[in-house]
Amino acid sequence: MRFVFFLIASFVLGLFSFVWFPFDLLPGNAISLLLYMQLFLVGASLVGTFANGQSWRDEFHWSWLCYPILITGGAYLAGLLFSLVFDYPLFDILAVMSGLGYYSITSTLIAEVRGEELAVLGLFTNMFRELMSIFLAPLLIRLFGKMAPIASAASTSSDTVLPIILRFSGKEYALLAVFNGIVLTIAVPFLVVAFL
Amino acid sequence: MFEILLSLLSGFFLFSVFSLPVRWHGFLDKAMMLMVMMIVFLIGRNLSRMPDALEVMSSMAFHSFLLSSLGILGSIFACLLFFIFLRRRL
Repeated sequence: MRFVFFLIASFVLGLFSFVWFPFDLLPGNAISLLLYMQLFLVGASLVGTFANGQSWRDEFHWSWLCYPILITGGAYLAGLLFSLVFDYPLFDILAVMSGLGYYSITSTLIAEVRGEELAVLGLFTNMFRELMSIFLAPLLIRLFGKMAPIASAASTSSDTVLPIILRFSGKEYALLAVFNGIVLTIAVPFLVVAFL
Repeated sequence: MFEILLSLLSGFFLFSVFSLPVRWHGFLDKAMMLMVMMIVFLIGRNLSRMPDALEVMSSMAFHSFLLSSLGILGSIFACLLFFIFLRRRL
């Protein structure tokens, strides 16, 4: 939770920094370099998650493979509805929705290809998704069942929202949440790029 | 696309081969957080160069809130429909 406040502070600081220092501090491709370094660290952080192979084999069910597809498909349908109502270009909205809560990668990729305006929409949309998954988890469980926080958290179900899922849905959903999060975390960069 | 795949896989395989001590995992998380903060800082900085930055942000905030709510509901309903389908089949 503290990290989200740090992020908001960084964004606000970035907004004001150009007023205080109106010159280029970093090279133009700084965002791209940071993105590749970040993806490198994402790959590194996935190493430990496959360590406990026995419990994965015991718990795994074939229906687990469907959840990442359904979560992504549901988000795309929502994006389609939004683009029809608000007259946004469909592929822009689908690129934003492909983030599935992974705001850092999404906003960086969009900023690199399509500029800052759409990147801000990608950043805010996916940040809101993560925040709402954290704050609304108990309400979502009451309305839609114990699977709802995993569906709402999407790619963040294996990291930031995992403690919330464990607390409110129960430990029996932990491995499914981690599996879903890993699959979507790997898929997000490719899905975003596919629509840009 | 190629750079993305290369970055992800090189991180994964490099750290698989040279296994990190446990105390380094915390450092890895902190490095990732720092990088995200730097990226968000740069996005904010580039956005403030636009002449109508404030207007863009206020409209984006409303649309992104709506979009994320719709996205959450879409994903949940897709999973619920799948649950209903599974119960009927099994």
